[in-house]
Amino acid sequence: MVFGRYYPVASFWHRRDPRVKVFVLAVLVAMALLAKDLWWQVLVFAVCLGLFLTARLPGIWVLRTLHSFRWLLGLIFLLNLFLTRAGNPLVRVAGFTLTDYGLYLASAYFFRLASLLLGGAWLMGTTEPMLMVRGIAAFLRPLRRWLPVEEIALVIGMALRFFPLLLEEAGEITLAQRARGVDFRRQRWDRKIKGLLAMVIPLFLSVLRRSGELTQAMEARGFVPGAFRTSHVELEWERGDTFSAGLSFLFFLAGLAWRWIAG
Amino acid sequence: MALEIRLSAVTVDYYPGTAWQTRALAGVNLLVGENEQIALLGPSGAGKSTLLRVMAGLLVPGEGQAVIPEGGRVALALQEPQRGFFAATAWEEAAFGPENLGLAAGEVEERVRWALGAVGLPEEKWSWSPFALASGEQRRLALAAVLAMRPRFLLLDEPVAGLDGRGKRDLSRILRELVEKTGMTLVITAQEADFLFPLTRRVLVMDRGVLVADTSWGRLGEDPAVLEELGLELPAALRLLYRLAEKGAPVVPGQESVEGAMEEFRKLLG
Amino acid sequence: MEDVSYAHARQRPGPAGFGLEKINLQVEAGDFCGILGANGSGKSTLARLCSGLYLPDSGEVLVEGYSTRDEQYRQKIRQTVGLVFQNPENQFVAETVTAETAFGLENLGIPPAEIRRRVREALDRFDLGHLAGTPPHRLSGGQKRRLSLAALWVLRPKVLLLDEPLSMLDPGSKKKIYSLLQELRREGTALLWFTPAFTEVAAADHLLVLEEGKTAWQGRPEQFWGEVGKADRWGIELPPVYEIAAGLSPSPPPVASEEEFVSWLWK
Repeated sequence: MVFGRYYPVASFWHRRDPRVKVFVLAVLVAMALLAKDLWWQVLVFAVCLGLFLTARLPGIWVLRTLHSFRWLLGLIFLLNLFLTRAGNPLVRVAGFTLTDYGLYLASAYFFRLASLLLGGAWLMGTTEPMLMVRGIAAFLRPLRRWLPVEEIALVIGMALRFFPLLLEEAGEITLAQRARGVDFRRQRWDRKIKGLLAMVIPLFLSVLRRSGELTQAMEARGFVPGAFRTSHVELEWERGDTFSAGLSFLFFLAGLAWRWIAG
Repeated sequence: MALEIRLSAVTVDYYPGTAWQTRALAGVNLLVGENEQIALLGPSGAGKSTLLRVMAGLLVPGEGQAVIPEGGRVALALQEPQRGFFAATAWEEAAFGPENLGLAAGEVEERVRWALGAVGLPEEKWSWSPFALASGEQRRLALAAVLAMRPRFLLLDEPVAGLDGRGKRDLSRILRELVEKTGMTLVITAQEADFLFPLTRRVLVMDRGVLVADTSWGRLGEDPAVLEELGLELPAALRLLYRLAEKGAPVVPGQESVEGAMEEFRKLLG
Repeated sequence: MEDVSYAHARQRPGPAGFGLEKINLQVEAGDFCGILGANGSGKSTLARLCSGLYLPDSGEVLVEGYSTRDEQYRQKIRQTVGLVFQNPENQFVAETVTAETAFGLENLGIPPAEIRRRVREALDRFDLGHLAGTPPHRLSGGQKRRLSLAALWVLRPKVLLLDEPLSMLDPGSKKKIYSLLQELRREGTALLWFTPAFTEVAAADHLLVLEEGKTAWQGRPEQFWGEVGKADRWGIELPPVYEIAAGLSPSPPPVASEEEFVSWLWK
């Protein structure tokens, strides 16, 4: 599963400030939602593809990302295809009338979703998780009065950090229980339930134990939630960031303008 | 038909085909029969855990063949096995394994009773929650949970990590009794050669996925450079014999057992 | 002269272990103090009391004269006392070695440039420079230990509380980490070393034996040999060479090292 994975390589986009990249993605999302025209969605998709490739991310990841979400993409496509009434009828299938407009809409929505997925993969592929959290936190900062932004950022950061460890632990526990004879393929359903408990309970306990120890470790090194703290990483704003932010903003305005003109 | 675990040219890669691919085992050939007691040594990352998992049938080699007896004959106890606890009582925890083997209730009861007794868990604690037990008892229960499957081959991955002196002594005693009574094959990995020496005869040494030595304690000391390079140590008794021999004492350092080593020391006491 | 002292503390029992009763302990700058005890004897509880993570039910824990109960001085105490956990796995907070080392400094609000400088210094000192971008859980056992030490050293603690610092390490790494800790001690950091193994603290300035939460014995390591018969009861591991000597003679000499054993048997 490559969606969400960081790909460490040197590229223009990898060097960009995470806040700019979040902004670019936000603009892309807005653009994708701006119109229902198929050609527009294909254009947005092409832009996303361009971003992806200029970030020197592996081309095959495009296919793999789409493949990971094939059920969702397929669902969107089929729902629109089968349930759209407007337009000229093309063919009847299983009691549903498929229309040309339905096909058009289905394709448009397909590309829209694909663009969003690809955009997300681009952001996460070019941005280290901790930096991404900071990027998002920067955007949420204005809401500091209503939300505990710093704490949210910290919690998300820790979740990201521990997710791979959690997967590894889950793997270990699975292995340990398999060593005790748990075999999901061959057993009766009542054994399977016990087998499931044997995986879930230890993992849950492990998470609790780990978080308890981790809290102690953090406290022991002077961490106080909500207190002022600095970061060893400084986000430096470069010309490339201004350039990207500016360009995205211009595209956004152009898109808005076109939409307004086109009615 | 004697049982055996046979590995031929076994190779295991983690994350094959990705940027993170690492070779954990490379071309390992190994034959382990019944009633053998084997120490598995090697620096961390050498592939010891991976080897045990292949031997237990839990990991399928990418290349090569692993022929392993089925039906719970081979049992693996992972590091910190008490992490796998989930049942309501110690008894249920121990019964989980044999139940998974599809045995009849009477057979399960017999095995659990035997296993809990073998590890020395007092009967009044059998109905306790596994989480209410002291850490030493938890270790014993985890071992019982594995023993209840009545394996002919018992594989232990770092069973003494985090144990204090008392814990190590108890475990050593339990394992020795098991071997005496049942002729079980043991394969143990540990960082402490002193724990392994009294329990084992055959010594396997791994380094970076390769089985570099299949020997015995007595012959292990013949190439001290290799041991030094791998960061391994001989058991204290053998180290002392080698030192004494260097100083000219009339001892034979290449002893195969604790008893043999003690005999050599006694010669010097006169 | 900095004087770090711990006065007596008493704590209620935990679910499956013993509480602590009337522990009196004093540790001064550059001291090497060993706390011996079996698992469950209260070592970990004592370690946490000393670092201020737990507060005693009665009595005081004073660090450089400040009580751990005093909220005001909590940050100061955290900086002065560094706690190294038994299992490094669960104490790593950050994504990379660099970030992990920086964590404590970040909590103090130190400016980023200064943090980076001190982190670089620490990584060089502990030979972790080449691993700067690695996630902590991918390190080897010895490297993890060095990382926990580096992450504490950046704060320049005066005392290091070491909860079984050599556990789960291979023999080679054990030696290296032991030397590293002795170096730190020579530089003036006091070591408070918790372990069930006598060998690890045989070179200490003084020892305290914990049995079921109480002080069973205190004294210098040389004096410990007088109590060696009780080691079993206390759950303390004696040096392997001693165990061997004990198997050869009913009144074995106090040998803790291989040289001593060899000299004893072969003149």
